[in-house]
Amino acid sequence: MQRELVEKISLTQLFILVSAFLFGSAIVVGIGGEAKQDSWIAVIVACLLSIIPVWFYTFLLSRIPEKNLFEIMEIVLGKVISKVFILLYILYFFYVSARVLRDFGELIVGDMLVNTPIEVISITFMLFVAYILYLGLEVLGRFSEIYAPYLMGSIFAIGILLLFSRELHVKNVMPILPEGIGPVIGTVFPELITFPFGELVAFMMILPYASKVRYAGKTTIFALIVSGLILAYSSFVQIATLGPEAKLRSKFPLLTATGEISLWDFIERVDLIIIFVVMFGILVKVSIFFYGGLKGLELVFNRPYRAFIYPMAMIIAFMSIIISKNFAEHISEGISMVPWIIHFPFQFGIPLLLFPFVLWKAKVLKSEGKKR
Amino acid sequence: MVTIAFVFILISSTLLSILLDMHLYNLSFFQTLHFSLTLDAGTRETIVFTALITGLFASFFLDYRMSKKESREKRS
Amino acid sequence: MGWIKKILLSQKSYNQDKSLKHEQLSLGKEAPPLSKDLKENQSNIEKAFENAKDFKIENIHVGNREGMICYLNSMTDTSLLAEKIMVPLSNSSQQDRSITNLEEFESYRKEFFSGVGYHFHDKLHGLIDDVLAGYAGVIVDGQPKGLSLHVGNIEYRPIEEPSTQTVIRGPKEGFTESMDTNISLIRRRIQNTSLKFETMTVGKDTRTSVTIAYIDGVINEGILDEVKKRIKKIRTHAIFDSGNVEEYISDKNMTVFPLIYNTERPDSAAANLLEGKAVIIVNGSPFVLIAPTVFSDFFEATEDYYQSFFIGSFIRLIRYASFLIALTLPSLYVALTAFHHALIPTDLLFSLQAQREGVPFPAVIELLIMEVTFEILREAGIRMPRAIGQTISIVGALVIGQAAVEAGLVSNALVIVIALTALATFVSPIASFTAAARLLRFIFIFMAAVFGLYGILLCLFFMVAHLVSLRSFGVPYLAPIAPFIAEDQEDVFLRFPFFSNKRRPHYLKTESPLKNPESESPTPPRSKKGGGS
Repeated sequence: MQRELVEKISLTQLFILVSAFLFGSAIVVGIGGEAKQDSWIAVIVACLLSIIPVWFYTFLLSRIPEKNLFEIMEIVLGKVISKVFILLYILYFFYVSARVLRDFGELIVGDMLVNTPIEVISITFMLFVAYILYLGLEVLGRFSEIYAPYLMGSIFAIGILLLFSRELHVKNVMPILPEGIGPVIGTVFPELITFPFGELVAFMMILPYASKVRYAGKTTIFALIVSGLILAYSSFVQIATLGPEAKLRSKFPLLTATGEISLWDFIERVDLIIIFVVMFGILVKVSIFFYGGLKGLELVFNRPYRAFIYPMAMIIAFMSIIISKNFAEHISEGISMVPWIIHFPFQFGIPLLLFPFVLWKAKVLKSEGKKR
Repeated sequence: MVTIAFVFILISSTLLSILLDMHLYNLSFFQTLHFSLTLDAGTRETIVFTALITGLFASFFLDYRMSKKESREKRS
Repeated sequence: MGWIKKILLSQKSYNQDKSLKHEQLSLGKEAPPLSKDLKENQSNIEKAFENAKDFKIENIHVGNREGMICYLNSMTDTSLLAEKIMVPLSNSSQQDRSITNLEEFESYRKEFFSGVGYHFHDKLHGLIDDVLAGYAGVIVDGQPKGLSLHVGNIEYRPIEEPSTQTVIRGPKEGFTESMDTNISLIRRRIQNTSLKFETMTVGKDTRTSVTIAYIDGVINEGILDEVKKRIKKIRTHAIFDSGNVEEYISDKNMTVFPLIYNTERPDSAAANLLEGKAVIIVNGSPFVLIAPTVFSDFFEATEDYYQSFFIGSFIRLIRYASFLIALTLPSLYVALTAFHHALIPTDLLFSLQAQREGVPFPAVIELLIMEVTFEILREAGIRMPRAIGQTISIVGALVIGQAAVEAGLVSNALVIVIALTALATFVSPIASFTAAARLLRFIFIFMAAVFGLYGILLCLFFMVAHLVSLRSFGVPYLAPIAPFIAEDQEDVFLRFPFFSNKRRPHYLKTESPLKNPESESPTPPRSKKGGGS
């Protein structure tokens, strides 16, 4: 039988996509390091705080139903102005996916394939992303269903294995909040709230395609809370294993922590297997940003989004290489500039700007609907 | 259209990255451009640029195919 | 969508072309209608069967009139012919019966040829088609219609134990090449009026019968229609095996995974029918097709259901594990020995390296040599005449074994890897499914040689994405796993006991979702008040 024209993803798939999206690169590079031993608290706080923007996104979408962010912009702002904004968003989405891809490339090159050039990793990975998006969003959803158990399972397994290896030291986490709530808030805002939680803005492109749109918002928020807690747990495990100093210094704290696992002289170097899990998270993240951008291109250039996949995938691979000279630059950009200059306007600025227009337009549409 | 999109996105995203680098390193625009586009010693330029060029050719090809299709639909 | 139009247009002209040729073929040269004149009919039939040694035509008396009977002695049972037609004919000549009009012809048939399958034809080609299918054609002078009587009973291989899906416990009958036998094998298992068989003819030149079996009221109507539509759409000149049909009706050919299940076991076919699937029986093939199918079907053997569900579930898990082993073990060997020494426990690493000391090749080449050798050996083992089968095992053991190690071509550990992989490949109950693992394995090895573990992961990702995108007659190929359907998990990785398995698979969207709603656990319910002494 024929493939449905409108792609749909089920709520389970949406839940998994949101969680994997949040784990994505956050679990690779480690988040909230500045809050020292309290980074896990910072993650929880950021997670709870970011319920507000996520709720706001779903609220915005619910005003004009069955339209994604870009379509809403087109309806609300008109064809010409909306195109400018959409192009900016496309750039944003592509830039962020290039950043995420770079995170992953650094991880593979730094830990697994020491002699392989990073561009090969970028290109092969983008080829896969292109393939799966070519097959469609539905396929991405089902694909994630298969890998989700491994993702969740191994994140918990890390903690348990570390516990059995006697590497978890609770003294590393103590004392809790020695300098009050100040440093925690400093980490939450702007770093944590924009990365990873604020990036959920990309889901404004996906949510309208959920099979039960009414529950999509709730599912997203539920997934956000669950994965926030898991991220906090993972962060806790990292601190307890490495201590706050080592965690801050380490390039990939989770991998460094799993490197400590050693059981019966047999289960060692589990970190290489963890990469498998990380790869899945990265894949979801890159794909969703990429998909968002592609949908935008579809709207702006009036061509099916599948036509753009391969060329744009190559651009992202290229971008991920020229984006920065080295890993240090990549990370420092990520901490000092990207949250303010890149994330903020797109995650909060433009949606807030849209808000009054959307409300107005929704009212107009509603009254028009009544007249008919 | 795909080609236009390709060129546009390529240029603007490179610009974006350069602007950020300018800010970070306090260099002038052209210095950063030069600095960004000369790749690290370990990086293999051929692979990077080959990939990019295949992307360009793919977009040419896609455009060609779509325009052909369109004209055929108009005729019929 | 211009290209689709183009294809459709070309298809159309092709169809017209085809129907024309088809007419010609079944008639030999031309298509004259049956005439009232016996001589003319006879000469037309003889012309059609010119130079056919197995064609027999006899002049007879039917009801005081001149007549003729013709048949192919290669397609008919001569004793049946004598018993059912010749004896009644000679009996009838003693009675004074005449055939002057059609009603009399009909009543004549009722009286003398009862109990024999028959058709009346007013076109010559219809009669000839029946003669080709094992009927005897009877034409009476002056009658505008010809009668064909079924006397076909060709010798077939008797019902034997299936040579592929063997079991220790369970029925040992297998399908044969005869479609009638196969239908009866299924009917014997499902004695129910809801079991339907519909026959179509496929193949321009071979005119092979293809039967679709299904349970009315269980199978999803949409799926059934799709099956019928696809079989009707087959445009080919020849069908020799269900494999030909499979390739024509699969959703997608660009995949190494079989999208249609095939089995030699009637019990498996019957069970699948009751689940709500369609069974396609092709005349001349002992393998029937079952559609739609999902990935997990290929890990289920009928024997799982005939023994305790504990062992059934355990073996099923073993099958999944061995599929993974067959797929990834060689590539893991390459990746670990070439890139990731750290993943190998230290002692093992030392012994591995010591073994590889004298081997002149890198691990990939070493592995590829042995893999290809094994594939050659396997192919030789199948194709080789039975009589020299002994040789192959001796030579094979020499090649993949001590000799290769001693000659310093490969290391000992590699032989273990290859042997385990080979064993694991053959665990899947369905032979056509092993092709997937056998082919993909080489891609995995290649990627592992280039990218190490990352390459393997990437391959796995590609494979899963591909699997997820597949559909078999509209049913997602990985159905109860992705999309995840919680109710269907009772028969995927584990086999739950029958009493808890009340529903038909959800993904088949059957017309009656419950199969045995009343089943209960055999354990007597524990009453709270004392109970038992």
